[in-house]
Amino acid sequence: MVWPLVIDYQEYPINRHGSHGELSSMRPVIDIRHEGMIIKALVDSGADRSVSFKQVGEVLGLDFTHDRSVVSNLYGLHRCDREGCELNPLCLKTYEKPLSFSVGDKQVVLPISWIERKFNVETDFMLILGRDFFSYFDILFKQRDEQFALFPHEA
Amino acid sequence: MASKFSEQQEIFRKFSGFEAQKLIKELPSQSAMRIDRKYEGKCIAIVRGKIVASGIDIKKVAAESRARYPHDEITLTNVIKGDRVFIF
Repeated sequence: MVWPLVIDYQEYPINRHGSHGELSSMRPVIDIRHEGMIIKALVDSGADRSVSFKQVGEVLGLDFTHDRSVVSNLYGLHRCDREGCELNPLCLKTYEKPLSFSVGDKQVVLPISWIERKFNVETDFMLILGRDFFSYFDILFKQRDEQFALFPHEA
Repeated sequence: MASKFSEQQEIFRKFSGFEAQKLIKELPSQSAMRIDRKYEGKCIAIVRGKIVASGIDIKKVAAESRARYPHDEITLTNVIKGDRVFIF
């Protein structure tokens, strides 16, 4: 039998209790391990793929010096309508590079788009795990209980 | 003999239903750490449950904590500032 990894939503960043339909600050965040470092990643079922920042990749030991960045094909909501806005995903360049990490006992290798702009500690998530992550786990969200479960696929 | 798929369906059913609490108690869980508001808008490094470095430059925070704790597992995260609603 394949047992799931049951994970409580985490306070991200500061606890803010939700009530009467308001959202709390609890989010489906998991710890991923890579070479002695743990980073917290948001599980996002709406994202087509996994995204992070070049700076975060460098902290994890990735070397981008021999890689070429490409014009981003990232789309999604961007609240600023100024085409040249540096935060507009279409203005970004990304590096495409896989990252190997573990979640619990499961080893995962995911292709990740590493965004070239500076990582903003006030507003950005370090790593967003998109649906490509779902190739390794079936995921069940229990919003009401602020929990989710990862059911590892057998190798 | 039940197939793997039906086994998984059974676990899903338990996790979704009344047996969830019993099931959850039997399984490993990941716990969150309460983080003080003074770290809002900063990157923090955590070693053995304690914040050992903080700052606005993720690379500096990582390097500082690694220098102080070369053999420990370091958790690195950032504390997003203010109440924000994220939609992607």
